[in-house]
Amino acid sequence: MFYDARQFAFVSTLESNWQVIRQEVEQLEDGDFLAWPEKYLYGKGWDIFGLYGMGIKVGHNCQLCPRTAALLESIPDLSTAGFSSLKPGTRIAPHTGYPDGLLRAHLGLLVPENCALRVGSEVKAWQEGQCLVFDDTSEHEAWNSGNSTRIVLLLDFKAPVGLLPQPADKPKGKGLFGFLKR
Amino acid sequence: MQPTHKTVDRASLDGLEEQYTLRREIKRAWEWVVFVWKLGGRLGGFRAVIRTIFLVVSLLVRRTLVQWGWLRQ
Repeated sequence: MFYDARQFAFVSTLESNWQVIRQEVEQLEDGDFLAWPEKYLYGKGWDIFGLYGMGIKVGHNCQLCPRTAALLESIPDLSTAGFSSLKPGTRIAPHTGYPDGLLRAHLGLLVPENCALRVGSEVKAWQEGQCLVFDDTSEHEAWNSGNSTRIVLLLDFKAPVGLLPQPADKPKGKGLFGFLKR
Repeated sequence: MQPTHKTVDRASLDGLEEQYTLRREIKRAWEWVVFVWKLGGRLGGFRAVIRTIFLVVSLLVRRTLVQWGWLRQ
């Protein structure tokens, strides 16, 4: 499900600085991005520029985007952050994330027409300079049917107590990484 | 008001899911190894890499203990 982004204090900070962030992402080259490893979900066309992973700072990348990194450092309980690039014609198949009491936010930076995100039964399109916040453990999918690359700033942050459904309500994952989804 | 978009038909995806095999899981795990290796090269130096390895190992140990019920989440 989607959450009302305005209830999270950092959202207004990011949204008021979105053009600064966009300037930095526009300076990056294609080779700075890495293909997301879950290729069975999308084939090709989904690339990531990591800034933070599980609280670990990706130092070299943060040096390339210093103002974005500074904005991220001001977010309490930040876990993971980076730029997510979706090339035209790419569709990420329905999937669920790895629950750890986190919520996911997307700040639209470069958003062509005809691309959107479905979470559960709700479909929303990104808007440049605006955040979407959702529960990554709900089934979701994304697609870019536009004619240019979609880039968002993606971040995971610790959900306020009581906001997320209890883990027992969630389906258990299968496979080698299934235990991470419990 | 958000614009609406047509999504995929869920039923059409059910038959496409790859069968669960050890080989498939190893292949998927290898993709993660390659990704983490490449990202590790952008951490910002040897010290950062060592610090990160310790942190990741401690996270995995913690996760295992939670999984076994020896530690509360």
